[in-house]
Amino acid sequence: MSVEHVNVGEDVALVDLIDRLIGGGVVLTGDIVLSIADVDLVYLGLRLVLAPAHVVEDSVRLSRSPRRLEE
Amino acid sequence: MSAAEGTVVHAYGLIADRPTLSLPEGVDGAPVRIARAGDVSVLVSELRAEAYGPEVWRDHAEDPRWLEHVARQHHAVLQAMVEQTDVLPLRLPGIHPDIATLEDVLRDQEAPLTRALDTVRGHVELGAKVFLVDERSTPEAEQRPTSGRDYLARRSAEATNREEARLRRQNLVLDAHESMAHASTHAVANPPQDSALSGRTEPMLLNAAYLVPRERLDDFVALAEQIHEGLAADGMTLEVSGPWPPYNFAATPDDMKVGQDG
Repeated sequence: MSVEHVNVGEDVALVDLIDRLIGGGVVLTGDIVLSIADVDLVYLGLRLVLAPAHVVEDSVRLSRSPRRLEE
Repeated sequence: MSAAEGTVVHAYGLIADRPTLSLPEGVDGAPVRIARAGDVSVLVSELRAEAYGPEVWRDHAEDPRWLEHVARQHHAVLQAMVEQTDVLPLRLPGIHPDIATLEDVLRDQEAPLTRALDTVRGHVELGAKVFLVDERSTPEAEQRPTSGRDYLARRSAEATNREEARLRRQNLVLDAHESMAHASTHAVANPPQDSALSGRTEPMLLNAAYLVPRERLDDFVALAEQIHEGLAADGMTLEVSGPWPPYNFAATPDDMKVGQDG
């Protein structure tokens, strides 16, 4: 059994971090400095942190989409 | 116009209480400070607009190295906080023109944000993943089949065994998730990570997160150890990570409204 303590430094598993940053976190309304299209690009970009584009396309379809507030 | 010309405000997360905190360094070593609106406090850094303004985010939206750099530093601040106090992570890109504008946003959404903070108060997130590390092939074999019929019968029996083993594992994983969910306040099962992304070749059978009360962390880990030993007999392994800032349990104000009204 490995209970791994997540440290602040470089050794946090990148895939776990990106998984969380894409799927989680509160969005504040009025967060209007970037357009929705730009924010979407950032989320695609965060997936690119982990893998080349062709892999990412598949995983985008499988994963949760970011929650939004605009509707 | 910005209060300080040429700067933007990067918001990391919200905290409810303000005990004496040791504030870490923020993005690129910028100081982290606490801005406050009503009962809600937010951890922020003022950053140079030419380094982290909207145009720069736009330009780097598909730049993995730049995003990783920001993501790691954003996380580092939240991780340093969760080790000291309860924190509600904010989603990237969390940039605002200035502190006053951000404080207005917080005041406008004080009620749902306070509810969201209440959800995670006294809790941290633990991650749990189950991998299939040893998919045992059926031990028989070696004897040459005596006929075509014999060969087909064996193949069929092997397929049945494999399917039974798969179903058995599935049930064990569901039981494991249920036990850990029971030991936590909230639980979420996320899609397993693609092995191309995780770099792990073993199939991932569970990718879950649990919101665990701080005072029950040891109990949860003891339970996980027990589950891990149970799963090992069927070639599976359980890996627990944390404590994480509660990314998976940071609901948006709108989600909260839906929850409240529904």
